[in-house]
Amino acid sequence: MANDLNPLRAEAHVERTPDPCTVVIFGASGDLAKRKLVPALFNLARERRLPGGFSIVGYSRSPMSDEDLRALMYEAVVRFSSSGPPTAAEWESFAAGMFYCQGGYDDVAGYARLKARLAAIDAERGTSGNRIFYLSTPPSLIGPIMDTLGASELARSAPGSWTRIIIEKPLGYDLHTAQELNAHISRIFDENQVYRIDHYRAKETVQNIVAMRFANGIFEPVWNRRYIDHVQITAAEAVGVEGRGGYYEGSGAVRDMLQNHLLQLLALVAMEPPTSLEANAIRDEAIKVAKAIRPLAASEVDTHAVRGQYTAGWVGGKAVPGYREEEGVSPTSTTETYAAIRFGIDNWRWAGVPFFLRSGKRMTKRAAEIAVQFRQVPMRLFTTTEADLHEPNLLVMKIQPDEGLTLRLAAKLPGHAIHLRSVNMEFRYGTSFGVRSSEAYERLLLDCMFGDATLFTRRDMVETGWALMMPILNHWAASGEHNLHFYEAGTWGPEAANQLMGEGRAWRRL
Amino acid sequence: MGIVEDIERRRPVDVAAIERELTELWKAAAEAKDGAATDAVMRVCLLNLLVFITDEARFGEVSEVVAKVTESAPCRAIIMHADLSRTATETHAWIASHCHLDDQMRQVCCEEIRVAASGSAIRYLARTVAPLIAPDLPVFLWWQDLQTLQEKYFLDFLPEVDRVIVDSRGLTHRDAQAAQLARFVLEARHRAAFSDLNWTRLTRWRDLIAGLFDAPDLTHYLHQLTRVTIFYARDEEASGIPLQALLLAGFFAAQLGWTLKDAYQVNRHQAELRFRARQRRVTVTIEPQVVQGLPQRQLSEVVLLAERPDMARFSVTCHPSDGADWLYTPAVEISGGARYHTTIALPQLTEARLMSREVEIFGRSKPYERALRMALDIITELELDAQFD
Repeated sequence: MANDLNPLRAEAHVERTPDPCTVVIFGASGDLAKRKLVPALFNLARERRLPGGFSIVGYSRSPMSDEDLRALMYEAVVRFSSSGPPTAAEWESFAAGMFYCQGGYDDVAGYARLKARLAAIDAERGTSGNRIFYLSTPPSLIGPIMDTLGASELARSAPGSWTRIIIEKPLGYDLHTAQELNAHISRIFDENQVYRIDHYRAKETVQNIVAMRFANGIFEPVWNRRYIDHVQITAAEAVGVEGRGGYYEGSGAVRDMLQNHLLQLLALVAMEPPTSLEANAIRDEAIKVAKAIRPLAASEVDTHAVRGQYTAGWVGGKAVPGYREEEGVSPTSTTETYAAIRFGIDNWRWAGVPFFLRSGKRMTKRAAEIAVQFRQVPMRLFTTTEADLHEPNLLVMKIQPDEGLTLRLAAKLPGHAIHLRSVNMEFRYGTSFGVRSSEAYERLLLDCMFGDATLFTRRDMVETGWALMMPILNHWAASGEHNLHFYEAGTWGPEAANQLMGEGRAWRRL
Repeated sequence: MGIVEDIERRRPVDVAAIERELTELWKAAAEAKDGAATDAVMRVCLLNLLVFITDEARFGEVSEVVAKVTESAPCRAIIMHADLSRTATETHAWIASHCHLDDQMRQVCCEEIRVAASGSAIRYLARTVAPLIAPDLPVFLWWQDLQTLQEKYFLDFLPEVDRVIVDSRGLTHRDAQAAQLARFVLEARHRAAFSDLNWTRLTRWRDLIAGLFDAPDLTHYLHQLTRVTIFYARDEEASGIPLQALLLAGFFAAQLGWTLKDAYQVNRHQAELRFRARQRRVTVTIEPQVVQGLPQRQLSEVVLLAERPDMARFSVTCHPSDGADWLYTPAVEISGGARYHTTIALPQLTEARLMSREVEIFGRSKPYERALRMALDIITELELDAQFD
């Protein structure tokens, strides 16, 4: 890395900055750019993580000047920056590197203008031909944008510089479309240029899974089928489809959450130790364990997977409509707003240990966590009365809303008699480290500038995820309403999901 | 964050019974909350922070700093006051707590122990305090009196602590303490690592200046620098070159492999340092600047020039903003090439902010020690030059 040659960086507080570059945002006038991307870039600038001369070019169909884009983004940063609004001086210097280029997404002339603008920025601001193309656009535009980038020779880098492309989910609608999309990408970009965003991976606790497992000697010896009874991975949302009923109708809980985010979490919890922290070393281990997950046969889907859909209910102190009453949703929709799946992993470490994944909308509250439930002690020495309410040890990695770790232990109640209770040891990021964690998009954008793909999803992981989900999706698609379980909004999902767990196990109340 | 509340301020306790009293204090705090588990007080401790003062009036200020530090680094703080003016041998102790609300509005609390000693009790301060250090956690000692660094009661602390923090703020090359401090830090074989808040004040300057050369196209200019000017806010009263500026000059020289050839004072406030680098000479000038709104002797601007083969100018300027922050502007101007600048607002460097940064660091800092060694060489050279004059 070039920065390693800078002797003034020795023990600097801010470790290093990436190579000077320009981020081109396709869909610059859209919601994602305003809510997430530009505020994230501004926060990085404020934290001195961006290189000098760093520039942004917004590209979209809307007619706009540089000044218009700057004004639009100023409002966005004031509203959405997690580090607070900019001062006049901060904004003046940040906005000086922000430009706009108007054009259609398959308009060769528009891309020629973009190319000329990028060349001028390279000369004026020293960005050295390094570019990131961020596709903040609907999935239908990914193909035309990539084709036109290819045709305009913007997908290739000049010698000594680099070009990368960031793609948002959904990465396909099913295995077939994902394969098609990947094949399309690979005709224009090399795999090492492609950064598929999974913002879940950039959360502090998700990264901490790797640190917790492999930097602490106490966990690895018990991290296997001998000591672990089962693992529950949950991503619960209290919100409904929030006006995006039309989009969600074509998606559902499996496509939206399980196929990507929850499967990634499973892989991080279950993978073998990587040989290094290099991106492909971690991703190689993740894909290995994902490939060891036993795919469900069509005949197994009803016993290993449950789908649900919320009906009208009560969430956050107010009445909410059922899914079929949401705007843009068919009154006979069978789209699942809740899904729970039981997977097994066929390898020596995990044979016989079930992994339960669940995600749903309009659940009791917003919470995401991984709970590793250990086995009961071999002999229940202390169970003398029903007052002994202790349960097996449990390690919970909380992802949101408050990130941290909890370890449940059994302890004796004070007094002469031996009565046990479960007690929790807690570590919370917000309490122990009173500093702001980076927003997921800040981390991901910076990693992409550094060329670090650890937190991005590789092609094989995307396709493996889809391959695991297809038997379930196909079975449900062919079943009509047959196995669709309804649950009242504001609850923890359909009762049928409890039956997945089997004897002696239950979903955690979060 | 940031709401500081004292559950019990300065509760006098028997020194030998501090641990027991602390347990009582936490029990009382929990009972005071008297409610659901979510209301319970969370006692968190990541490190020990020991502070030594000789001025009783500093108790309050230090306590405020500790309260701020606990927001990002919950700790057990032990503030020690040595009353050097009293001969009676006495030790008194108090306990208190610092609480703030975390991002989930939970009350997070840390404990503060105050120990006041006079007479012979000062000599045994380390013995009194050592049992109060929370075990298995890093120990930081903020020693606020540079004049007592050779005293036995300071040296007795060294085996007990991981990091000693001092502050050379205000010292110039003419102060004997500047060279004494440097020699003490560099020459002794201490188990503990040393650091200087005055060096920590340079951290953002070092970050920003380093950032000017991160781009692969610009890194090579580091090896073509010919002239560096370090400006600081003028202090009419003082005489001599601020140690902070010398540390930065020392840092450049040490990191870039420059050898000191000579150094002389142009006038009371200005010095010129000449270095030899490979194939070229580098002149570093340290000079005062009239700047409104910045503390005296604080750095205000650093300019680095590479005059060959083409002119390249790199600079970082600091100036006050309308609000509480300072504005820093790193800028690059390459003749016939890129020209850009950015402006970043950074909060003022309060003691609390500096200490919060300090307690994140463990172990020795090689760049600090190298910069300090070079600064000591420069001081020696300036003293020699003054003798010839």
